[in-house]
Amino acid sequence: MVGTFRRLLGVCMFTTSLVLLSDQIALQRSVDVIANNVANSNTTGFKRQGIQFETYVSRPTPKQVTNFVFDRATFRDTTPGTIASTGNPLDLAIQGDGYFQVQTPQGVQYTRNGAFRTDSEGQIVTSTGLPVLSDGGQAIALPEDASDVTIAGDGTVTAKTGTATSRAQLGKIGIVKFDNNEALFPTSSSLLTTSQAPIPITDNVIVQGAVEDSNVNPVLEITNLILIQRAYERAANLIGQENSRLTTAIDKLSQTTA
Amino acid sequence: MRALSIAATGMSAQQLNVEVISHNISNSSTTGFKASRVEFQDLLYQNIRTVGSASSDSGTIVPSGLQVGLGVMPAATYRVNTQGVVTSTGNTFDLAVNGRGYFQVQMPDGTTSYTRSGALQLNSTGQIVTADGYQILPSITVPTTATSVSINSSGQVAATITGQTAQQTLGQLQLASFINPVGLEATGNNLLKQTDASGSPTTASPGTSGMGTIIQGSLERSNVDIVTEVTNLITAQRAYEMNSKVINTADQMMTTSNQMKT
Repeated sequence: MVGTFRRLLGVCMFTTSLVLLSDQIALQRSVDVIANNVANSNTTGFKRQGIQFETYVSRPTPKQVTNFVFDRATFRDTTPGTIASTGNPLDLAIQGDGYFQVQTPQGVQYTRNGAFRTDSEGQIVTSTGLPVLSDGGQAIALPEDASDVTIAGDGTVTAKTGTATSRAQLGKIGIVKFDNNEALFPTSSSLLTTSQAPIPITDNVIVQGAVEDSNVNPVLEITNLILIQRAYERAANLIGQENSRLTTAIDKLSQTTA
Repeated sequence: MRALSIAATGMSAQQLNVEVISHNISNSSTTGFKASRVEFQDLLYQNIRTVGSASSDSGTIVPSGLQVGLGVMPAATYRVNTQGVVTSTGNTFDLAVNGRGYFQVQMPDGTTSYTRSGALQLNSTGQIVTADGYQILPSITVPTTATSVSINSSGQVAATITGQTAQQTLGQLQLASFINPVGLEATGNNLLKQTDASGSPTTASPGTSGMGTIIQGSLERSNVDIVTEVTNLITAQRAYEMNSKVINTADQMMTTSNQMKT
């Protein structure tokens, strides 16, 4: 009899608390992810992150199965953000699938943030000064006397130069897509990196004079926040109850055996 | 818990946003003023479980890792260089630039600044100066005998002199343009300074080489659109509130942990 109790205690004495603890750790991480979404609710081209939970099954003995909570992965929610008009000729938004290519010191990276401008050499650059690449992988430069810059839906950049009456073609902004949008990983500064090969697209996807807003939905994030907070409190309560149950059990059992 | 500091980056970003918006609104009737906008970017990501790590012994890998972003940062503030509305004032030396180009201003320290504000005046020696008394380059002096001064769209300054029938040409205004006007540094008093980002200036007469034309007796108003600014202000306030809500929740969760029965 005593042996049975001992065996039971040895196997599962803290299991309940540990399952609840795994729940709490996962919930804390979800709050971090939500905090990042909310902080970026005004970041151009930002895609909200979601977090995926799964059960982690532990089988210490063949008959005993314990399901822990395991925060397996974060994923990018690639729902398009609303396209907001800015009137700035170098603000570009992509409708539907597609990314701009940016030359960074770490190689070519991709972005949906099309708030571009020119640098001191007239090159089209991102707001951190990295060159935006053409369909041929080159930087695109606007001549100094360029006026009335127009960027067509397929990325073709044209402008009037000097006193010329006709428009000159200055390059074509390259737009690419990927087989798997989930396998693009944020680095920082709205940039994404991937090991996939880019597929060029030639459709009319660019909207000039507009940017794609963050796709963070405030109502969704705050609702999730409340749900997480309550789940966290519930786990804390259960840990407390489990603790008093164990205390009572130890009390009672020690009295019986004494 | 990183949520506290992540939400704090969000709050300080929105604070900067409100500051820039309030600067725009307070300059909504400043001559030649260009509205600024803050550009935000996401901060670094922390890899808690790296992408592509093994998920089983048989070589399957996780398709996406566990990445937690660390918040937001303001990347840049930049001026929206759209044309402001040109309104008529009837003042002889009120000049508006319709199109590209800046007036060149001789600063007291010998450097050159640039401005879109063409509310000009004459000083005691008849030179054309800004409201602060700084000379406009190239220097043009209006003689005291001049009865009326006319400035045409290509920047030629001519005057009718007492006792003369023909108009006398006094000089030619020049405008400066930059390859990247957004890169000019605002120094206050409607003045802008050349930087490495703006490139060096090219000067030309108004109406040539892609420069704008001069409209005499008019001023270029601020390009601030109040409706846009107020809408942005509301968005910024709500974003600020949401970030503070996250801080609150993170705080309450920590309180919950602290109050757990032991």
